[in-house]
Amino acid sequence: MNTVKNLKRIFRILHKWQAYYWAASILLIFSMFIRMLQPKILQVTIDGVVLFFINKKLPYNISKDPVANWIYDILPNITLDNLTWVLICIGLIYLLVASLRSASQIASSALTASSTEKSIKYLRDYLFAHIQKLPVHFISETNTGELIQRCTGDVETIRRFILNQVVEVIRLSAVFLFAFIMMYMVNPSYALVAVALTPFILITSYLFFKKEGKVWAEHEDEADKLTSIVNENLNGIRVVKAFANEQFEIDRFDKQNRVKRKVGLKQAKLHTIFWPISDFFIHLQIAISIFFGGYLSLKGMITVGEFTSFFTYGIMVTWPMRQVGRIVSQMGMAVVAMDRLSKIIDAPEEDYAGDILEGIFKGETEFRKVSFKYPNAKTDSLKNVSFTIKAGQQTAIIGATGAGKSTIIALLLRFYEPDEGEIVLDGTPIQQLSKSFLRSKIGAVLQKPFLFSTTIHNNISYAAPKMEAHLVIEAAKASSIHEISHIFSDGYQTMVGEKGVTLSGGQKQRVTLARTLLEDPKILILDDATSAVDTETEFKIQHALSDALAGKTSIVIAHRATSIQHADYIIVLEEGQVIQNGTPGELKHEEGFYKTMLTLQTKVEVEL
Amino acid sequence: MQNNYLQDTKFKGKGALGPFLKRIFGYSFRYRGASLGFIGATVLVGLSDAIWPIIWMYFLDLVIVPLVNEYQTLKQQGLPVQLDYSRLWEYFAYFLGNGVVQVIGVFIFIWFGGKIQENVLFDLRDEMFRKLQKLSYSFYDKSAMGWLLSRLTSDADRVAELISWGFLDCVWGITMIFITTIIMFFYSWKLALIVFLSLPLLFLMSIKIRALILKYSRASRKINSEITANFSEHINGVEVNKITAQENRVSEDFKQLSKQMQRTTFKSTFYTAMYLPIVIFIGAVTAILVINAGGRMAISLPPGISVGLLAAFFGVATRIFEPIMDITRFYAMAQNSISAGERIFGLIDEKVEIQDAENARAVEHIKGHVTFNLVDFEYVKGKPVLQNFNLTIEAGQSVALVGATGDGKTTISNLVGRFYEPTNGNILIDGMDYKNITLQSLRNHMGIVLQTPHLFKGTVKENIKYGNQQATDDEVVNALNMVGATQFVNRLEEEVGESGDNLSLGEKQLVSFARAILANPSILIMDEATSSVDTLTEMTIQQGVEQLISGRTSIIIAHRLSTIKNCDRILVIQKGNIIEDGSHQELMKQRGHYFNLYTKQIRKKTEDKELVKEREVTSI
Repeated sequence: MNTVKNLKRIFRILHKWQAYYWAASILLIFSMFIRMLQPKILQVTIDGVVLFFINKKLPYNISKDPVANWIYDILPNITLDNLTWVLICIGLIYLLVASLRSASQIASSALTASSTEKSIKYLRDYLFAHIQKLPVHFISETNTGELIQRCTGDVETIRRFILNQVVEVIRLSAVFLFAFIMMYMVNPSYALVAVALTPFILITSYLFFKKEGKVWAEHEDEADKLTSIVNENLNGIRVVKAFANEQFEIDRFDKQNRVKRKVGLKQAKLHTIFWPISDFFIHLQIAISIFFGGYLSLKGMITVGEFTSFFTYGIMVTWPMRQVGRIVSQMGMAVVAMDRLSKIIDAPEEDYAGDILEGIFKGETEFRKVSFKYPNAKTDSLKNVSFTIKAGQQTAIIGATGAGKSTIIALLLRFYEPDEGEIVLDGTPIQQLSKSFLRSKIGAVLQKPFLFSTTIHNNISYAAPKMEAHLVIEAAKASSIHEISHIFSDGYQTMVGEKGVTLSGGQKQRVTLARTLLEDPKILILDDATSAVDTETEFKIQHALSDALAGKTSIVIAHRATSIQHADYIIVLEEGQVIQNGTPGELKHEEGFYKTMLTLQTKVEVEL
Repeated sequence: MQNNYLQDTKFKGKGALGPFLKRIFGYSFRYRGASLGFIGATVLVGLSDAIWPIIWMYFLDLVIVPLVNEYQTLKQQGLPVQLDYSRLWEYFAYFLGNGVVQVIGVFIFIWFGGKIQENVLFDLRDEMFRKLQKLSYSFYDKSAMGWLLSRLTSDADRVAELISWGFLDCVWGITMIFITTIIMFFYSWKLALIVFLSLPLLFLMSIKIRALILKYSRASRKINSEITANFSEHINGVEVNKITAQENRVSEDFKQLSKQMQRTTFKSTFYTAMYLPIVIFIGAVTAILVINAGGRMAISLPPGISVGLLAAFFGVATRIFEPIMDITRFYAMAQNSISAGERIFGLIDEKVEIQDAENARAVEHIKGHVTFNLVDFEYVKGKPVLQNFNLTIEAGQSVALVGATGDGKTTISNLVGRFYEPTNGNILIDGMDYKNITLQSLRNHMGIVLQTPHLFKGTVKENIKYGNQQATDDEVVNALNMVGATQFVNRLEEEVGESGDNLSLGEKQLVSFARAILANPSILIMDEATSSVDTLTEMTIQQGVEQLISGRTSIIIAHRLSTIKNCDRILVIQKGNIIEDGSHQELMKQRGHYFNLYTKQIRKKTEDKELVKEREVTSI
């Protein structure tokens, strides 16, 4: 992992808002510079007014302090008669300084916040759209949860980095540097003494937060384990109760709850060591500074007023320094987050370019000696497969799990490209066709039904949001949803819940079927699309489908014989090869998968 | 299903803070020693912080100013100057001593704070989890799992943070304000008044800005969870977006959401960022007034105040916003935790509907005779599912329940399992009202196979043993053989994954059968256990079922009538009543409802077969 490269990338996220961001930083530095004038006000009050009144003269070494001199220059002549007026002027200067400081700081924050939020919005939008266009194999090879975590958690880490951490580093460095310079200008040796322990504080703080990060990770780990125990328990709570295993569950939970507490206390222990130690060093540093400042003022090398401002500067360069370790260790997280995000950002999108087919789309599909191996797979999923799916016919592809049925669909949709051979659609190799064109012509109902968390109606009209309601209902009828729509609380307007959790598997399959039918695709693919639907409903769907599919090219993949009863042509796959093909009539008499399937089905029916 | 629990409990706001704090601090005061130590140490640190300016004042007034003046005078008079550093050392010791007191205080409060935080977290989680194990089905029917989970995690975390580190800020802030005010008035009531008058303004501004921050950060948290949900949904559903060519549309839709997020987050970060400059400015204005008033006092004769006091007041004025910031931070945190607290205590206080009666006793053995005696039952008040329902099942009998969805089949089986209890009437097991039997012993004698077979993360073996933790490996293998799931005999150590997702539905079904049989139950309940498996698996399971039901009381609900044909008794349930009761043969003879149902299914199958034939003919 290249830290510098990733840091650069983080700042590139700021995109066209970069200039605003740096402007905000300059404003912040300005604000911190102004802040340095504040202690000087007290100094001038003490030296120029109070002690002047007592001693009837200004301190002797006043010329050494350029900033104080500058303030003395602005002030009216200090004489015993106009001290009250001087006090008022000092007040006015202070008011000006304080206003400038707060105003510039607010302006800086506003600029930082707006440029950060704008660029983060841009990043989120980019990621979202980018992922939608990534090839399917990238997404299936990546753990989904992790992908979501990167788009949310990692983006948040980077957001915090830009919004807070960088700003904080700039602020602390400016304060440290300016305060040091303020002291140095007046008395270099005091300045050096005031920061003598700072490196030490910085290093302890850095080491602590590094260690703390590790314990924190351990803590999170145990917390995650605990969460997953609760999660499992809640999901299976009915089983827990059915087997009266509550105590067993409580024991298991209790064990992990204890572990979690132990790690939590370990973390607390770490803090009880660090904070007192670092506090001690800070108090020591301040006591030393005060001692040294006192020594210098007794020696007459600094004035009493200067001593008071030194005291404030001394605090400025000590207390905040122990936060540096926290920021630095958190900044490391941003680099890691960026590195992970880069892996998504750098992944190439699918190529959507290509031709569209002019003229009438018939849907005759030919596989010519197609071989294909999934990335990272050991063996080929398809070996030299050739067949033709005739236009207007229903073709069934059957075979055991893992025979390569779904692979054929994936290749046809161009989720993957064949390693050898070619796929030809109406005479044109599909590689030449635009993916969006191809996919808009092919309607596929995939094995695992996926619904979006919106209404049933919106799920059906997902690909055609502006479709008229009666057409939606028509598709629902063909998929046997219409007849059950009354059991949902709000009919078609019922929300299905995240990923459609409130529907049963069969109901979900029916909705996805309706969604595809509504698209009115030229080629319809049903990949085990009614596996979770009960036989009775499946039968109804078959009937409705046979009307909807009349004259359409369709491909059906199924396990049950009942699902493929309307097929005109059957292809039997085994271990990636076509081992049988023909009309149902032909295959019925050949020994093989189809015949076995038929026999089994009949056996079940005979039992009835 | 009711919707009220599926969403976040509404934030009640006004008036809820007091009782909430009272109750939650009850938890930390279970650790009395730690709590007192924690508060004591925090007060000590606040005290030492408040005293700091006083040491500084005396140092200036008693050491620096007089000595500097003395040396200067000596120098002017040309006399030798003998510098005396002893008083410097003395104050060095004071400063460091005060620092050491703070260090000790910090050490103690972090130690106790951590202890309180972790222990209260532990207790809250423990209490909630135990409660969750006790609550009945009716509670889970109306609760969303995600929300329940977050009560044990983020809600508990938030509350524990409040009573440890949040409370620390509050105690420190109050101590600081209190002591500082006393000290200020002690030394100069005029200057004290100036500083004191800035307090209400600081308080007001703090509360106002914090309320704004709270409002927008809440809003942005909400949108953030929508954003996460959107990413999750469209990453999981990316294939669907691709095959329906909706990539661009969903990306455009997302932009609206992220725009909202941008606006709200900007507001919350902006208000957060402007808070500090504003209170610092108020502090600066106070300091100006202190300098003017203090300066005038110092230059009158005789001087009203000393240099040290002026410096000390200046310091206090510029930093008085700090304790206020801390106190209001606690206030904001508390406001922000009320809803978490309500959710936690709502769960802890939830009434357990089904629990052991006081005189309930454990039973050693159950024969399996089940009687429903004039049972009424309703899920929702006023919508009875069963009324005056009577049913007797002999020990060892297998009974199938047939009927349309919502007519009460599952209700009957759930009542037998005592997952719900009758609203009226009673249910007897072996002649004894089952409310007098402990739940634990009752369920130990029951085996239940649910519609959606749920497995736990772990191995196949662990999952099967869930039915009987004491079972030996041989017994596990036996159970597998009994239900015809022989393919698992060599896969016992295989991980099934989260919720058993590594296995197919049919496989999960088989494992859950084996799990039920391992408990060797006297009463077996199967609710639509084979509704969604493919032909091959169904055949296997069919054989398993035969094994399962022989010799024990079984209650089976099945959609496919072929599955239940061999049961001793078939009950046809319609609108909560038994309308037909008898064996398959008897009911077929009656030519009633069951006959119709059965022949309809047969007819369909036959039509189906004929259709196939027809098509074959045409295609040949």
